[in-house]
Amino acid sequence: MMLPTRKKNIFFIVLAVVSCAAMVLMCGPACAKNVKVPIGLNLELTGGLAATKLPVSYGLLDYIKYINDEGGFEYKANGKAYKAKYDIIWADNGFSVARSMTNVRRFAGKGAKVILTA
Amino acid sequence: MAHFTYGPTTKLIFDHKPQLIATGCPSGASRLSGVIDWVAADWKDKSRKPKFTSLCYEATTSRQSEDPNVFKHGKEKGVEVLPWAYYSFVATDFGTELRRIIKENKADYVWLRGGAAQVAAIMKDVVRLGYKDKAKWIITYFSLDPVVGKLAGNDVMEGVYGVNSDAGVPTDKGWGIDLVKKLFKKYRKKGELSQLYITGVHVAMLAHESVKRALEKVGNPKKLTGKGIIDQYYTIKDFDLGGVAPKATINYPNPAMMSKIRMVQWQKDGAIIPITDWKDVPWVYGNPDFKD
Repeated sequence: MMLPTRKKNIFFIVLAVVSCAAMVLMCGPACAKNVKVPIGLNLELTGGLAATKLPVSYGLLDYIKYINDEGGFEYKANGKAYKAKYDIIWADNGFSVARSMTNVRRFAGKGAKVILTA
Repeated sequence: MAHFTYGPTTKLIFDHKPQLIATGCPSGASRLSGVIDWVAADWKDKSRKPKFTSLCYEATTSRQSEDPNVFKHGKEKGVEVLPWAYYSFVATDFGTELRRIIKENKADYVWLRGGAAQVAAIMKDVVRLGYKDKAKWIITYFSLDPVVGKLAGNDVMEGVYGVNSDAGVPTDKGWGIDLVKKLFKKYRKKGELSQLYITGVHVAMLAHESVKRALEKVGNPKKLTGKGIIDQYYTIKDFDLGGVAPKATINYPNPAMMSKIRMVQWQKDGAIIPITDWKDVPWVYGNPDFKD
């Protein structure tokens, strides 16, 4: 039986809305919103304590880099799914307070709300 | 901004509000409380008290470790704590300080506070002066690295004790340690996995967990705040780190990622092996209710 055009249009609109709602409800990580989280790494690669701080710096950097290399991390908030990756901003502080302060200002300028220091 | 640092808890952290710093390990005073307990148990000569002192590089954190609570705790445990000796950060000869510590003050246990390069140079002087067997030498968390053995020689370092206070060692077991080994192989490719590298991963793991929990509160990363991240840091309880460190429980306002120590010992082949279990140490700085 052929439906009248008006009824046909309503049917397709309803079908589209239901499909979209179902997609949203069933949405997994594949359709999560992709976001970037700026993170500052205030590393100590040179300077008086570098023999100690170089391995610590690498540990900090490698773990955060690994999260990104594995595709990032997922979280849910307010009923929405997100897929996040870190926007890594790093700098050497050379065992200098002055350089550390410059680094932190730079991280803040790029929107970082979290910093890791070796 | 939330700040996750590898360093210890210091008194200065508590002067700033809101308190946005998380520290990798407890203060020198807290760690030394555990060390003094170990000294008291290790000392076998009942005719006299053991003498404990420290040789530290000149720094605020070193000065803070010479804390009245350390002396008080020593007295209570039957350990005579002597005043600290200090050296310049750029010193290359430690003969004067070591002679004073061993020949004049006759210390039985010496805590060496310095980085890998400093401790290696001090231990070479200890051997040069013939003092290695005159006392038990204890190094701190930021010199537990194979590079010390490479600089000083593992023969020099063999038998030296260490205070492990900020993460596990490569010989620990668990999924976290396996992950650390994987990361080291993937990104570093050469060299030797060290306790210090594990420490870096430990700090990053807890920072990441705090960020993730904060994001779950706000959704959009643009709404993140340093305080929001630190607030979530303090919600971490009984958090499994797979051997990277003992399970983490963070209690506001103690900023330390862990409040435990264990003693380790340097082996002939350069390995650093735990010789005690993890032991809780008291929270000293910033703790209004601290009582020894």
